[in-house]
Amino acid sequence: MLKRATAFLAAGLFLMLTTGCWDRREINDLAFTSCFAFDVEGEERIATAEIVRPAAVAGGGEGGGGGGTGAALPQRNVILASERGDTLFGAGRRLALRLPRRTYVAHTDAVLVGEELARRGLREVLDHLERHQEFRRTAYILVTRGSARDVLVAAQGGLEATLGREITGLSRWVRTSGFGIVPTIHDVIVELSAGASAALIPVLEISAQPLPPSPGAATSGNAASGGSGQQGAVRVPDPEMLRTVSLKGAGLFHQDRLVGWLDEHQTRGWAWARNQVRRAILELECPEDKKKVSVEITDSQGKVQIQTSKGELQGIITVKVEGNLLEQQCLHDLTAVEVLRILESQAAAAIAGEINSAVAQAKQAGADVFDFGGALYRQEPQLWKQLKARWPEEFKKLPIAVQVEAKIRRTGLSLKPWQPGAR
Amino acid sequence: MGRDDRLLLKMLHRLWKRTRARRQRHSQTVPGKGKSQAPLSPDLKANVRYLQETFGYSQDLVIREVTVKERRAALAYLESMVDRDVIQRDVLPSLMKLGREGGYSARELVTLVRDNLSIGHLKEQDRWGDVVYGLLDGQVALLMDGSRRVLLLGADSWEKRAVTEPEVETVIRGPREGFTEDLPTNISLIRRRLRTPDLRFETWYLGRATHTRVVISYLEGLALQEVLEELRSRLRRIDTDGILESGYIEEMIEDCPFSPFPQFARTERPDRVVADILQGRVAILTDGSPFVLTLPINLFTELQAADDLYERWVVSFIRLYRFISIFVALLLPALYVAFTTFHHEMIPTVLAVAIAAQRERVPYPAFLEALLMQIIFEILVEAGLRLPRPVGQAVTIVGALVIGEAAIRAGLASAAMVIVVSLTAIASFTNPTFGLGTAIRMLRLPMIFLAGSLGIFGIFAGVLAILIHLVTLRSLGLPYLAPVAPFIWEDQKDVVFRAPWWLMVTRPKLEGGLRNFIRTKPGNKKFVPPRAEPPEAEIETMMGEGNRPRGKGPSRRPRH
Repeated sequence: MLKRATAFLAAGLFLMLTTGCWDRREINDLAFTSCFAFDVEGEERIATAEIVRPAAVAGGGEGGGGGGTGAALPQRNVILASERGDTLFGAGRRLALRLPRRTYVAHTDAVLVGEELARRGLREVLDHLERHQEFRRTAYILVTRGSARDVLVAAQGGLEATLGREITGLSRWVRTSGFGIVPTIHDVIVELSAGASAALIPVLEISAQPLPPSPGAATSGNAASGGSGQQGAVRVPDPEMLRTVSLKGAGLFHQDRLVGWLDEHQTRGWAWARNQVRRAILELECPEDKKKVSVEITDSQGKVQIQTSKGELQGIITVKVEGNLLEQQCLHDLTAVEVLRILESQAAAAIAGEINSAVAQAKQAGADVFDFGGALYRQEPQLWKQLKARWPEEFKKLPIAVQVEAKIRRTGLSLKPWQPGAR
Repeated sequence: MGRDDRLLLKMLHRLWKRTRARRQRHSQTVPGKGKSQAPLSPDLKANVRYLQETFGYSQDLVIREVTVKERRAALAYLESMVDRDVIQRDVLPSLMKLGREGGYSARELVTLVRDNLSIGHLKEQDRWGDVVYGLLDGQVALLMDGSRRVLLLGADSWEKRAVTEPEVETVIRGPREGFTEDLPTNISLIRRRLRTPDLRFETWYLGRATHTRVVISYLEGLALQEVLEELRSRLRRIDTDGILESGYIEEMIEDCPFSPFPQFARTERPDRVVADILQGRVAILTDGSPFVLTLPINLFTELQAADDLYERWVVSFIRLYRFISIFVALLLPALYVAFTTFHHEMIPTVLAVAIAAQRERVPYPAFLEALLMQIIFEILVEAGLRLPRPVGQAVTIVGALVIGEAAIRAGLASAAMVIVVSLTAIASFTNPTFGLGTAIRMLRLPMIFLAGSLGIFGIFAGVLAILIHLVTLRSLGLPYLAPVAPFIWEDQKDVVFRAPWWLMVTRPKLEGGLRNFIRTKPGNKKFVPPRAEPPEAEIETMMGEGNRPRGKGPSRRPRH
């Protein structure tokens, strides 16, 4: 009996010591991926990963660019690796073959999906990301025009060390600038699981801009940065281009397939309606001449509703915005109430225009990204059940009224426009 | 039950029998087993011989024979334990002044001598045990021919350290007196602060060889009777040859001897002891040790510094940092290990990359890294404690280098690990009482092991095990997590923060609660109309008798 107790105790102890470590991984044996690009070519899937080089990133961001399969990039301290496979997972696994460390995707900030793959359907991408035990649903998802790999490889990043962090920054900023949002994987899955199953995913594009000439390159006089076209400035014969990324409109998805595009203003039109605008700038015209006035929208309330009257459906988009006068080019006193009223109606018209153009585009593509389907479901669940199956067609012929109410509250710290010698 | 088992049992039984036999044999050889109840002989010579034989003709046993009223008498004392001045100045002249003419019976003589000795502390004994131990306590025995009675005169005096500032428990605000090794001094330090006849000192002699004086101190009517009884019964059970320090007692009477957590508070500060006694606790003073035990306590009293009593109550929220630092000291290295080896997704991306970069140069797993740095640190602490002061400085500098830049440069540890270790070290020394800090230090290593093998799950299991242990732990019968684990709303006033003294009307419930003594008078914000009384009276009220109930008799005490 005593022996048995001892045996149990010893067994317990050894069991304690032998368990647990099976998934032990040292943090420095991991390859942190920052950004993923998924593409399709023929029947092959291509997975491209941006992998952080910790030493370079943590050590102050100095040193040469990444090797791997990507081009030598002076800006990002990352390694790019790309592989093909029959499935995304297969491609990812093969990718691991060329890395000395285990790829660790839990810290992935963003996922890019190529146009071709997006047209064929996001389903497999979402399935892969959702099933993967490490991937987080909080990663951002974006689409690219053309191959996503090209964008990932070509992008050099700007202020941030990796493209993933660059996109994180962009997503934060785009929320407060009004031009839509960058959805997370979770958002997209939720949107596409809803009855209307339409989503809007922003487009990431490479936008090249000239690099300021490096101090060593130009020896003649002072190098004016930025103003390369002006007189007296040093003309850089072939300015090196910095390929940063930017958000450019959005792709319309219906049933996980890419069906159309919106430009930036249409994207903002969508954002007004879906109440995604925190702040925005509107450029309006002065009432008297063709000069411009900027109005900053500080508060925006958007609402999508649906009305049924006599069996006829009517979509209503109501947007209420408030804003401040931020800048004016003309010399009129804009503090007068009537002038403000004119500006307000202009602002309302501008917003309504953006919304209408977005609506038109969405209707053409048959993607109910405004979630009229959801509104109908909430108001008339029975009717929605009947219409659900043929909702894209119903949405295409749904009359939509846009009502915008704009208020301009303040004119900033100065009342009248400043001009030289006014006093 | 197999053959092997039976064999094992037989072996255990034999072992037990042998140890019992040894213990019994040993107990006979331990000196002074029980006090001898043998009476003295009326014959002085026989008595003197007995004494000399008992002390084995020890060098410091002095026997001074005198004649008092025609009778032979002898002063016996241990030279090393008594004040020679007292004997030469007070005892001997008193005896000599009695004169030579005789004619007294032995009984009359004893009374006469007793009445004429200018000595404060005097006792009459007639048993050998009392006499021998009296001598060992530094008393002087006056034996007289023809009498079985012995006068024991208190003349004890030995070298003692002056009262100095306590070294371990320092305060910013509060008295700077600390206990010394001398028991009477310590008693006087307490008595001076608690001038009430209800203060009790109960003397025990523990240890067969050391015969150490142990005093338990409490307020009659305030300390729980159950606690006192339990303490007494536990003290009664102590049977050992030596008590050198209060630690011996602590270990022999604590509720759970295998727990790393201190179940009694130990302090060097008389003011803390008095505060505890006033709360209904019992203090145990041990002769020869400046550390006084107070009990029963709970975990939260271990986290209270002496300053907390004196600093304004508003700032007593600083205790929160001590609570936090306990967790930091216990868990930070374990969490670091768990996060870096199992739960990478819990670290913010940027930090994860930074840690990965730092760890690239470290050849072994985070678990070993943590273990190594922790052990190095503990060794440094031990060295710092033990080394003589001049060398200590060198150790600190070398230590700072080892756990500093050098370890990182050498690729021995990552910078993050160094931060973790140093934070842990700092946090573990925020405990005002050293005992709890040591417990936490000890538990840290197993936590690192758990984190290294099971990750967060292991840490949770460890914390859970500690919590389970803590809720079952008792300090002299009272629950260790007292006002929190059996949740007592009224006692929350001294856990996270200390309530202002004018609101501390009741004592902790489990430690006596509301009993005879008045704590504070509630409502001290009585409005005093300005100039309602003549100015002198007002000053009087403010200076002297603000606390006395008004309107009852002449409230003014004559000054001067």
